[in-house]
Amino acid sequence: MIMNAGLRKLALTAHVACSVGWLGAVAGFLALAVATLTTGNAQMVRAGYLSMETIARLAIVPLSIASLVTGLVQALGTSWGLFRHYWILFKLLINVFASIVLLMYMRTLSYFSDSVAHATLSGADLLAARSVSPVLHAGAAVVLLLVATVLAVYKPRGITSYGLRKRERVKAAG
Amino acid sequence: MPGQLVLPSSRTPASPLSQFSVEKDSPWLTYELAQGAGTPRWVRVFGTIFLVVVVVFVILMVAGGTKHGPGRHMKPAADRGAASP
Repeated sequence: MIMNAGLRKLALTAHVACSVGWLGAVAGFLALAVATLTTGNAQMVRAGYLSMETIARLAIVPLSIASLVTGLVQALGTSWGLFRHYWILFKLLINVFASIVLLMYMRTLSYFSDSVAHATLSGADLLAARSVSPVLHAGAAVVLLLVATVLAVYKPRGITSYGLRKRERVKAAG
Repeated sequence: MPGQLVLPSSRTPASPLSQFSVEKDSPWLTYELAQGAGTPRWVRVFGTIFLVVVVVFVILMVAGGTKHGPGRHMKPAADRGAASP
């Protein structure tokens, strides 16, 4: 189904808001991850992990799913299609891959936050809980989402073989 | 003029592409008609990089097996603390 112009703009606005919001939320997460890794303050480590888990659960995961759903609506509800152009295909692959890794990593984040939430932990234990893992994951996510943003804005040329066949069929039908 | 987009005559409402119900000057139609056949270089580069990243990810997951998980990312001291009441 091809959406009318009004609906198309609404869907595009939703997709841009969710996708850029996802990138922004991951950037915020990355800032917390770096601060948690580099601090010498034990309470900062506890606060950092608890905040990272909350941001991931309440902002990053919902925004990633919303970005995927609105992207599918945008592709399938307009003439762009989902598999006709390489840049759209790459954006889909990036989105799905990042979402899968994110959902898998949520288990690790929950483990981190549960571990540091115990009031009985000493300052040395909390400082020992610092890990480079959230920084690496969030850094990779920022790079991936930036690539997706660049693809969306520049729309580099390249039509898939499916897109070519579809275009030829349309021409032949005319 | 170099770089200027030259659209074929099919960019008219009566063309076969008109079945897509897009405006005559829509960004999609302009983009679509400017496409040529063949795989661009950026696609080959991006595809290779993406494939390598996915393969490395899968190898890490498979090679890690049961060892991969939350405990792998955290030092033992915090683990012991978390386990205590």
